[in-house]
Amino acid sequence: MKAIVSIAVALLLVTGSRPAFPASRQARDVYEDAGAVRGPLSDFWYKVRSEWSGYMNPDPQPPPGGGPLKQRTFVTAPPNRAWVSLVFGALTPKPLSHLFAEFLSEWKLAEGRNWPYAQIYDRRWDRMGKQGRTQNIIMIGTPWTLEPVGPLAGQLGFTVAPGRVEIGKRRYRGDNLILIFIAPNPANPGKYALVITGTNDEGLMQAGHLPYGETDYVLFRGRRLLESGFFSKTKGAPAWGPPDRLEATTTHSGFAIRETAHYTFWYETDRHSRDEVDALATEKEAAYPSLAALLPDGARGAPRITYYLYPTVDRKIDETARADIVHLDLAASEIHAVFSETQRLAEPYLDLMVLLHRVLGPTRAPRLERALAIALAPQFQGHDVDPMAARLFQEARGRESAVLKSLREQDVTTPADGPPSEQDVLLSGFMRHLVLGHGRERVYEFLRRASPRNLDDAFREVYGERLNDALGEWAALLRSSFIGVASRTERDDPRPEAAQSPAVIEPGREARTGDDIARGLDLMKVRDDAEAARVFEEHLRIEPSHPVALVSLARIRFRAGRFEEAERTALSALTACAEPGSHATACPRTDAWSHLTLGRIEALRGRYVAARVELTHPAVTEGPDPVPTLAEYWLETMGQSRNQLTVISHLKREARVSLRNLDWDRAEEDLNKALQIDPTDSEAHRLLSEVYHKHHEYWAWQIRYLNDVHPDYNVLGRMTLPDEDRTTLVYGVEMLHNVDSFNDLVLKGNLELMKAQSLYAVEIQNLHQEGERFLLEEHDTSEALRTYLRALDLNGDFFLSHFLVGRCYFLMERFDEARRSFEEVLKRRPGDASVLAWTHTYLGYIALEQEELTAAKHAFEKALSQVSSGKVGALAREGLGKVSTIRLLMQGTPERP
Amino acid sequence: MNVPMLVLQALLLSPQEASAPPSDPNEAQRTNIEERIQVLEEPWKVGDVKTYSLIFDYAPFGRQMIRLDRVLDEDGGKVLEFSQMLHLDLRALGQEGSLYNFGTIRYAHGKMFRRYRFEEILKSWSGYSTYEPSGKMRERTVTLDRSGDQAALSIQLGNEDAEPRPVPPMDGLERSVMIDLEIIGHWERLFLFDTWALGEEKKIPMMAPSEPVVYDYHLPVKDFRPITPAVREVTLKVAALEKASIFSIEIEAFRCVLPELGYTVWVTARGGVIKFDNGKGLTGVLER
Repeated sequence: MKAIVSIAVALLLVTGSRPAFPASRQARDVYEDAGAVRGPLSDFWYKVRSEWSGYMNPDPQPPPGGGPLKQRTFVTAPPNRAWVSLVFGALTPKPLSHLFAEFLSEWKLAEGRNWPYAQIYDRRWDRMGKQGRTQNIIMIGTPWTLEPVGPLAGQLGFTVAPGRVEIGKRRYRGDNLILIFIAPNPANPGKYALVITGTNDEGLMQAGHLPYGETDYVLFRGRRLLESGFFSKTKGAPAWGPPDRLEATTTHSGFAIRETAHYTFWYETDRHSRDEVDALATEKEAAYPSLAALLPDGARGAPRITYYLYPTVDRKIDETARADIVHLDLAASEIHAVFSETQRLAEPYLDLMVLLHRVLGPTRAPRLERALAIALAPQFQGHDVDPMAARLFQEARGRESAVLKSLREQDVTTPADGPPSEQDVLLSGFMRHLVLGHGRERVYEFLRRASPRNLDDAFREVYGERLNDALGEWAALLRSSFIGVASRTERDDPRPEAAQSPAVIEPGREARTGDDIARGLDLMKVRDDAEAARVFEEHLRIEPSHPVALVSLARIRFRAGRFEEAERTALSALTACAEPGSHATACPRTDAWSHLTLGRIEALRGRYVAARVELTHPAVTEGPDPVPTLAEYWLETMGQSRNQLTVISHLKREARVSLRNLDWDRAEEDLNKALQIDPTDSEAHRLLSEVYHKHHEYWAWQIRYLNDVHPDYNVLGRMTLPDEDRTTLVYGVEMLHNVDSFNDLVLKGNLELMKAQSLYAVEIQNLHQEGERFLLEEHDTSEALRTYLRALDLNGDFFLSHFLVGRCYFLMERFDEARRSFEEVLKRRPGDASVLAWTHTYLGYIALEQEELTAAKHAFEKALSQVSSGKVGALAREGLGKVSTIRLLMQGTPERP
Repeated sequence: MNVPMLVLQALLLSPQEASAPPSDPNEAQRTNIEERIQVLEEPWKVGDVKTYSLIFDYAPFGRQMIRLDRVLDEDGGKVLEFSQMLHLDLRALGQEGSLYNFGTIRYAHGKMFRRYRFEEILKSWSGYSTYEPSGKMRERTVTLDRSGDQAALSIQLGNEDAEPRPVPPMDGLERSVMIDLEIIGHWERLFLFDTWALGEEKKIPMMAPSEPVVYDYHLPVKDFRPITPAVREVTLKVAALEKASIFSIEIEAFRCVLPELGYTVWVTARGGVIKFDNGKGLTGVLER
């Protein structure tokens, strides 16, 4: 057996003929499945494509030497394009229907990227003709807006109602549930219906952020997977039945609830104390009237705002599958925030966002909603919005275009529900300017009318002037404030340490020289922080404004996790340097480390915009080494959990979403980050290979399509334009892709796949060896089975793992499971005669055990046809002998079929 | 297998299980926690993995992985072969580049090392790429073999050949526990087949391939650490039983200190290392 293991693993390593996918997935071109509607969700586009090329159709009369299937790809393409229907229901509330229409057009565009020959016809269900309804169809809507969804869901065992989804006996509640499933199209069971539905129309617009594809159905709460599985299918039946294989989980189990007049708080009692939550509740209730007063009608009658509090971003990811330190689920009016000793992210602007959304939303410009909420809030990330906006505007080199950047580039599938970016804060600064100049009512009116495509018109209608003019006026005001804003001393509690600790020079003691400072710095270098702090503190008693002592003390306090003290000391260091003094030469370094320390503190508090303001300060970016590199690194890792396992899993999840959305660059970026952290992550390598291969496939189809429709168009060429006097070529325009990078995608994909396979193969080999040890040395079949099953998890397609699992089941006399495993071996058509002989022999003995004599005889004969000598040959012959003996004994008794 | 052994087996969970917090937050208070670290049987099974996040002054610094790959038969005894991976992103120190360590270590009798082999790669850039630019990274392979009280070391730089050369005789080599101070996973070997009561202090002969490496902003990582295998006796003291914060989850663990090295290690009652601190800004925390 050792030899078989080694040979098989060596084969896997050397040939790499089959991808080592850990998930069991069927290839589309399995003959028995050709053209069948069989799921899972990812099969939708494969089927559309195969219908067009015909490569899935069995050929009943193959030409001499031809196979049973038509040529698989690149047959002469039919000139027509494949028809895919997209239907949706009618929504009544106007702002939501506009938003939904934009979502649908973006969704259609994104889905169309799956295959260029697809022509997606989108219609409201009542306007879709009979022919359209019988195509492969995508249905997006709730049962109450899209008529066929309810019955189709019902037939599969789902009940979808506002705020509730039931799957069999399992009940899920929430306004943010999204159910995605695939089934035979009721109007034409030979085609697919891909359905996106849920408990709330607004919630459906999150569908673009969900990873799905490997199962027949999947249910999410927000972005968190709740249940997924496969429907029961009977061969030849036109419809499928309720799920027969599934995995289900819940969220927020064990959370306690604390309710007040206007809020509901969900929290974990073992992570947050009741007192902590009470204090937050009191603070929130006290602030609520002033927040509500900012809104039209004082947000009267608004239901409670729901907060979910998590101790860390890791816990938040567990429960919501979102890595943002804070996010809102606007469809469900929920705020999910990290709330810990350091990170207290239950900020007032979040409450305002929920209230604004209820009163005015959903608008067509969700980012404008968020910007307005920040503008109206008393503070943002512990600071006034105006100076922050001024600083960011300075960083954007005073370009007005930066203000509206995020808004104009907005797409509705990217919701404004996560932490705001710098552009959002800039926009908030502008909104605040509008509120101060023209009042709140006009801003609300602007918000009601605005959409990314008509910002200028909406602005002119409401304010009677051009948007760009208003921006210019605001920008001029900001520019004049740059200098004033640079100083950080206007903070809430920025009392410089120097002011708190008045200089007291002990009688008879002279001010020490730079020796103290040098000694302190040396102690810092060997990380004797306690002693270094003592030296600096002592020196500051003599010279309270010594910038080096202050900034060094700030760094020591930061290292010790005393963030508030560190912040105050860093501010004091900045103040010391702002005043003319004798330590001017030390100030560039002091400023750089002070801003870096402040930025790191803000980052650890989860105030990322505030952190960015510090970490991109010119004193930092132009500061001495290692400050600029450190600041850049903090900017890059800001917002990430410090638990690298969480970071990697989240990056892989996001890469799957990007891959499904055919967003290659983003998927590649995420996977590269994951592999940077752990280059031995085989799954990340495998996903990356998928990204490159699918990217290549995408371009291959695009090129083919464009060659079809524009035969003279060189889609892989480069166009160069001469300059005005036609002497030199100055512009190179890349069309589609250049040949090298196009081909490189295959090479990179193969290389990544090889890396993944090598890693999987080594692991599988080790597990096989370990299983063998348990089985042969320790006679512990259960443990051996567990080990082999782990190997099977890594590559469900590897015949040898199935064989070894089957052998354990056989030894444990679990014959039905053993038979299934051995059948899996045969399905994979292994070329190893020994494995085949053993498989047939085991199957023969199972058949014998179940008194299926004919089947047993055939199995033993097949075994002997592979290997007739050795142990396996002897066993097969012995089996055949047993069959004959039993037959003799049973003569006259009818044999079981 | 006798009944006590069965009970013992049930108690000694796999490493992942051992490090998991009690499902009921009050469990710790209800049960009588034994105030000792006791590891009577090898807790690792083939395929078990432990990973640690490395943090330097609150910034993500890298990651470590250790995995039991296989159990081999050597000279009639069982030899455990672990694989390890270490990645450090030097940008956390304000420097460009990254450092990797891929290796395997074989332990006989659970803790006596037979062979330690690792490949270190020092890249002048950070980040992952499918193709790696040539000429911008350096590689070194170190192999340390021990047989009885003899040891041999080879250090191969890049593709150069390197012959193993005997290591000068060292007292206590055959009894020493091999700990590469860079790899947290090795630390568990210290507690194997032993009982450590709270407050107990023992001298351990420890074989380390190099002196402790210190990382800091002012120390450029431009070269590989010097390999100077040596056996030294270090004191390990089980200083306290306390709650250790593992990514904000409080886990009951023994704080063990090694004063000569300035290291602190938090260990569960079953010998699982869940956290470490080198006292100079570097912290490693078990990922869950």
